[in-house]
Amino acid sequence: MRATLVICLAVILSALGNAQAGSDPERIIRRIVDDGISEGHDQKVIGGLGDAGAVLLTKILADRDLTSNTIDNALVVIDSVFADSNLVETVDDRQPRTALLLLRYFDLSTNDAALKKRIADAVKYVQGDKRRGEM
Amino acid sequence: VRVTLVVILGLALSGAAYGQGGYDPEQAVRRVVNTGMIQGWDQTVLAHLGDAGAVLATKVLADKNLTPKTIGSALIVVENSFAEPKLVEITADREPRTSLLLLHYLELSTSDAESKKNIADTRRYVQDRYATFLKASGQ
Repeated sequence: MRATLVICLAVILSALGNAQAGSDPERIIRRIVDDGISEGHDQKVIGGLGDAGAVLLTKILADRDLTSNTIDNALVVIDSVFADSNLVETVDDRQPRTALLLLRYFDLSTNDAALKKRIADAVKYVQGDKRRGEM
Repeated sequence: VRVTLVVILGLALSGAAYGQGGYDPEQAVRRVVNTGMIQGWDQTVLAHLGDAGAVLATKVLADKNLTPKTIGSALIVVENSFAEPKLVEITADREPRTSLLLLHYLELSTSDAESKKNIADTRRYVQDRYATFLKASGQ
């Protein structure tokens, strides 16, 4: 009986922990950067961040060496946080400012031509979204 | 009398404009980046920002060409934002994170030897300030 209670408690606590982590934008962004895996629920949480998502990326990437893989995963984050500027609640964060500096930083950090092209595409994407946000 | 009135009105308007800008951290960061100088009030504003000062610098620098002068101005922002980490109200902003990324970005953006040295000095400074703060607060 006691063992069953302990197991139940452990399962509940672990589920609570996962639920908390599941809605923390910094943890979601860190997971995408680390593993390159984006889950369905992630877009709901980080899709409304806009430039605040890029700010979180600067904090997560601060102490890392930028490999091609890390940059690729970071591009997934930038695309996701600027997927729809109408969803971004904070008006200032609809403008990709930190995001554009971050993309320039990625460009300076790699010599991989294919990756540079993906970075340039991301610049066009967020700037296109910026123009839509201003309309 | 008319000239005196115009002068007084001009001073009052410029004072009001400065006052409005002075309370806004982004305006303070922009002023420092644009002029390369820091005034007493801006120093006070930046000292309360910590890593948020670097975040604002990324926003102000996003559409600027990075000349050695601009880089020097950005370093003033970062150093003053970490002058006294215990004054920073948001606990998470006492730790230099965006600041370190910004410094790395500035380093990659220039081939000017003096700028690179100044960037390295600023990196050491903010890391020292944070380490000193952690030690003093027993963390």
